[in-house]
Amino acid sequence: MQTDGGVRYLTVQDLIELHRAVSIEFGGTQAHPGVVESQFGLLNAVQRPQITTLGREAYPSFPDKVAAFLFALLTHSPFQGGNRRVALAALFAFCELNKRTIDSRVLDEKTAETLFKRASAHRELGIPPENVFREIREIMSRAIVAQQ
Amino acid sequence: MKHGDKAKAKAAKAKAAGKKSSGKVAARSKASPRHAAKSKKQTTSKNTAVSKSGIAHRGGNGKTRPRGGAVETIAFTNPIVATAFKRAVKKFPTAFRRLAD
Repeated sequence: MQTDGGVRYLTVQDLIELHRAVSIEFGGTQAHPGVVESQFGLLNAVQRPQITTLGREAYPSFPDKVAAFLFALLTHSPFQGGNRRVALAALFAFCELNKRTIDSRVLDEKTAETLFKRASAHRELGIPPENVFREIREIMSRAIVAQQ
Repeated sequence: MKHGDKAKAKAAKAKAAGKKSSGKVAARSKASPRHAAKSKKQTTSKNTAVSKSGIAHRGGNGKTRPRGGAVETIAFTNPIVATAFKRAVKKFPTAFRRLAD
């Protein structure tokens, strides 16, 4: 677990374990438990919320960090299958690590499904990546709440 | 008094009284030790057969146990991530099922 400025981040190991768990739990034709297809993509997704530019955090707030992380994970697709499921599980894990939770009234199952599908297939759908990122960030800023 | 005389006497007494349960006792006592050993052997062989064949057998609570097979366990290094994963699956089961690549 990496920490920076009070924020705890998921590690590559955590994501691989989540992928294994998701693959075992839900299976699927393309699921290969714990098999990483793109190491660059995985490392990029893990490090994206920690990026600093000129000494300042690129994503200062927690919802921004979550959005950056999810967007990187969904666009790079580092695993051979089950990338969107891993992203959903990682969203919960990232929030849990930082004592936050998801408000299911804002981000319900249908919304999450649509959002994740749009983000992972934005190139095929012809949606600009900045629009997708903005959409994720907007939903995350409303959905992420502190744990009671 | 010879060995077995007491049992015979008990059986006779029970017959006279017309008790059924004591009749069983008499039968058991009448049975030769060789026969008893044979029946014991049969029961043990039956038990081993059941355990070897791998048929789901019932436990004390009446629930069937799962058949022996490779059950994969999900191991997490970080317990918080494990808790989060369980919570996510519980909260969004349909989304997880539908989000197939």
